[in-house]
Amino acid sequence: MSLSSSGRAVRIHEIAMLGAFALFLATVEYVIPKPVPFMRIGLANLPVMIGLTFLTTREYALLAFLKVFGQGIIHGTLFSYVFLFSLGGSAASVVMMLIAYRLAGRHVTFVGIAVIGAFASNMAQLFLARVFLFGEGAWLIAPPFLITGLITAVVLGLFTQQFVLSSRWLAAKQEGVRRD
Amino acid sequence: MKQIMKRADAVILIAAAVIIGVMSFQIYRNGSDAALVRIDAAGRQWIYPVDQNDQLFIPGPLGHTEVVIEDGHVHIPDSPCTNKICVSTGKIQRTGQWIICLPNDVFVRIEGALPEDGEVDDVAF
Amino acid sequence: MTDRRNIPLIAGLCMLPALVFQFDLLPLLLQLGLLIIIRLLQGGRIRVKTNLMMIVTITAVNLLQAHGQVLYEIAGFEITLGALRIGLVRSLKLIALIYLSQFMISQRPAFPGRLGNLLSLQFSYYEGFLNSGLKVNPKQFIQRLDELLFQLEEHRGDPGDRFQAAGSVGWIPAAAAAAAFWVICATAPLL
Repeated sequence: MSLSSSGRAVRIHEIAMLGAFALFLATVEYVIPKPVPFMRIGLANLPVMIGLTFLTTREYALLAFLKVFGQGIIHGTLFSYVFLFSLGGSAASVVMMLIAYRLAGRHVTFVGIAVIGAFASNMAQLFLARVFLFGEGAWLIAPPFLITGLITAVVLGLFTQQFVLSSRWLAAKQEGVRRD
Repeated sequence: MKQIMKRADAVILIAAAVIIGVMSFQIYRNGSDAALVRIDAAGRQWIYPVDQNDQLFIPGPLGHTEVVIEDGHVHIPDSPCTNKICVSTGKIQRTGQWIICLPNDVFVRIEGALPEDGEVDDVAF
Repeated sequence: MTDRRNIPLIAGLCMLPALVFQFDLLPLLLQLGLLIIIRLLQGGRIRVKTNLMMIVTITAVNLLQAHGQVLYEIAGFEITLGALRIGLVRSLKLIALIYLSQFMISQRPAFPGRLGNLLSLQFSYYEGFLNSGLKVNPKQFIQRLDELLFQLEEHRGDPGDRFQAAGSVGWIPAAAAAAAFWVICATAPLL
């Protein structure tokens, strides 16, 4: 089974696995009790960042699609604002993280990448929250929202960096890329 | 050799913290500066943001006084009073300006979002 | 698209505009009531605490922007009728949209095309993660995750869709629900 219409075959199993991992983490995050229902930890960004290290841009885009749509389907929010938040936040962070990784991947670890992604995602979500849920009051919740986002991003970034440095599975994947 | 954090990470982290800090300061300092239209009529009170267009019918003893909020201005196009002083007052737009319709007991004024004796902290976090 | 699994999806798409463009509190409440009944009929759970928290949070933030008649004044902060209404409408609509959306995908509709296949493959791996007993916070999470990724890769299962669907929905009840939704909308001005 190949998704590619031309050129190299897309590694659908790797994408689907990382997408499934994102879903799993999203489910975990869903059941973690949070003081504010809109607070996000962004656990599902871990597989996305892992994907940055060995996926092509096209594969990475497919992973982002799986993350957003799979989540919408699993949590049953595909046709609600929640999905719009998820889509907006993910789109912003996925694009920003890709740009940051491709431009400055040598100089930056995943702590920096995660912070950039979280910031982009949270700004997009605040904008959407202003339109759909909170009105102008959204700006008043912006500071605590952004600050918690920053802290969780640093923690997630540190963890991702650990994983990327020590995972044998990822090493095998990256090896595969180099052999091509 | 890869490390856990590099200098660029610190730069990004500090930049994000600074942006959030500046934004927070702006929001809690100036965010509530938007002016409000406060309307008192026959013992009841209404509040509307001055920057959202609206057409209101405020009930007074004689009937409904029409109040229009338009492009940051407020005026009374019609009121069931005889002298129509309120109508001839025209448009108001600055904090502290007011229109009054004595016969129908309607008092319209523009003020800052913060109550004079209150603090931002009372409102938010 | 005549697949029975797609019935709720189609019915839901018909209902969606009647909900999205609903800005009055009373019909919105009726629509939410109908969606809750559908959810209960399908054997779903209603998370009262989560919903109440959403209503309180969203409404509270909306109250920060005063709008309309002043109802109460608490410590210099004025609660206005218009802001209260806007907050309630926004929060109740969000909850209703989530229930409608859960109804729409309750039969695991088959999404077409290659992307649909990719989604199915993702779900089969997702089951692998769920069944793996991987805890998020154990010691040596990275090693365990690593092992799991190798393990899942070996068991490249068929991309089967093994989700258990909620109670099946026929054409007639689905159409009736959609019709009721629009009737609520149409009769709202009379209420």
